[in-house]
Amino acid sequence: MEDLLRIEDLRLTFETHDGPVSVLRGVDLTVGTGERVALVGESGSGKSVTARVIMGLLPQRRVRTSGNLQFDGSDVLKESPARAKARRGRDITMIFQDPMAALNPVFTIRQQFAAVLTRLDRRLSTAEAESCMRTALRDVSIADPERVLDSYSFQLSGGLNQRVMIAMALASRPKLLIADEPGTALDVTVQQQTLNIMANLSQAYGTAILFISHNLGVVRKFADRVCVMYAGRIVESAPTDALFANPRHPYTRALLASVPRLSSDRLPEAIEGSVPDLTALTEGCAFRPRCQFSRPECEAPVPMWRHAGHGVACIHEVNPA
Amino acid sequence: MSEPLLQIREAAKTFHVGSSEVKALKGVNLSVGKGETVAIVGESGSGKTTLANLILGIEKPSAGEIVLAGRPLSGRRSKADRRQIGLVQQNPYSTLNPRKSIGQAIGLPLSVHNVCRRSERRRRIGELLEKVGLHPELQDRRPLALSGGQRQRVAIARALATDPELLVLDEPTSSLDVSVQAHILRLLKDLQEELGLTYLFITHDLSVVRVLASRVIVMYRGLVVEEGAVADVFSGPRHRYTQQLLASIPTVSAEDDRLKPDWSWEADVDSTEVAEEGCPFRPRCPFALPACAAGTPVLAGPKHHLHACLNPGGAATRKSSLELLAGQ
Repeated sequence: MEDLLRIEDLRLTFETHDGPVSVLRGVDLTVGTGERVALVGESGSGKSVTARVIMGLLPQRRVRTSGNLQFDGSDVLKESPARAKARRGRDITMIFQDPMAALNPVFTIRQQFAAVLTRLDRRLSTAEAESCMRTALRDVSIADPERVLDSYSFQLSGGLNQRVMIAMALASRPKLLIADEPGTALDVTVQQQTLNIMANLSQAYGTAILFISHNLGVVRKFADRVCVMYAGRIVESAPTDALFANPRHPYTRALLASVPRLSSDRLPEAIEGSVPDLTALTEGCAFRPRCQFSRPECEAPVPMWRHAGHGVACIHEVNPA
Repeated sequence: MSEPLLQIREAAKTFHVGSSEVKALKGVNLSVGKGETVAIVGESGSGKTTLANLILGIEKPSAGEIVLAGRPLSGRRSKADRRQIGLVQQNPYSTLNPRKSIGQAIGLPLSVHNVCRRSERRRRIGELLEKVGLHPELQDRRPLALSGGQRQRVAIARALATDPELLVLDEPTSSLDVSVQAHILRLLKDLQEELGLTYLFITHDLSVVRVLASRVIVMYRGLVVEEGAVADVFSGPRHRYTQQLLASIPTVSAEDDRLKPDWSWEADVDSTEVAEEGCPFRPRCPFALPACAAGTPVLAGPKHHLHACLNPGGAATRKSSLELLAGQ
């Protein structure tokens, strides 16, 4: 598969009043054309920041980036803001967590959707836009597009709003869709439906998806590959089946153990300790203070061990005890 | 079942929005034993939060009554009544005032209910914080300095300030990371054992119900559609809505997958239609029969596992009804 997005050793530091905070500390990530990749991690692991770097949505000031970020052959980190703006909403689009907050309550869905379409093609006639909107809404399984287009976002259910967001995000047939915790604000049944619609459309349109979530269970049925992120670094990356059948990194295992199981009424196991302070991290394994297998060697920088598409950044994989 | 602490009889609530009526609750019966954890499960619009509001006295029921420890609660609650029920809300980022310190947040119920002398308040707040696994010195900090999990612990400490018997937990872990959720679930379980608390646990996420609750009540559009012991409902869901809820739990192992009922996601297209008559789930149900439109199904079945469905699924019939659907 050809790489659509290739990120190598991406580092990002915010300059704050309390000194520099390293949010991304060497992220390596690739997304192939049409591939569905999940980025999983706790709050503060840097997954949303990664998405914003790809979108070019970070402020220019007080942010230092380094590394390599190639999207579809162009260097995203070095290009002008104008190029990034031209790409946003066309080649890369994004869906946010809360569809109610992402849609403007004082405009109808029709007005907002039309604005999206006219931005893509200024010469688009009203009739063309109208038919385009209807097809897009039917594609996300909305039975009566007319009623939805006439509505305001607060008149629609969360599930319908989310479908509208998906329709808008896919209207330009982007090469990459970034979904930042889609549906976490929704009911579980609606979330499942949304994921199904997204999966079907990504296949039909050949759109690659970068799916960001904090719950490993949510991405299991959806993603081709899962990348687990911790403290600004990818600690494990594997094809979905391989990751769930054989999680290697202690953090991935801990994250899996914290999901409640249907098959048991035992309490899920919590991960002791908390996400590390990003101002005071050394080059060693960041999970070390919370890891039950930690050894003195873990303080040295940890290389990524790779074998047959399964990558693990843990010293125990490199030198098995 | 142990002696009921909370009983709800035929509770109904109708809201008047302009000239139209919204029936949020259409006659709900519920009994919660002392020391028990009962989960109320349903999606937005199922009436679960309205039910909680009736219990807390935030709303007055249009019909029916609410009995706490043998005494019917009136529309206007006395201070003593209000002390008995604590509330933990969903989003700890919006339920704590960012301008007030943690100590002030927990201290308010202490002063309103005259729980202790002013001179003892600081010590008492420290005790409450220790009870939920936080450092007592945290009471001088503002919520901004706290993580989501810590804020939710503060919210639990505040709910416990008046020594209530019943805690209403309204989606206490929905806005938290899974890793943090596990901590809060453990804390709730430990507190229940230590203090003998009774929990009414409101959620849309069935996976949490499995580990925390002993009995589950599934609501849909203001009606109870299924009720039973957690183990029974999870191993053999009868109502089609319960099946859909179970089928949408994100699982992480093949072992868990086998316990999920089959659900044909493609069958459901647009779910906004409201059924005025008959089973409220009918517009979304791929198993609906003509009879489902005739009248609202009533709760039936063995006493420990009731369901209101005319074409129920079950361990034995699940397979055959799916084949039936495919043949249509």
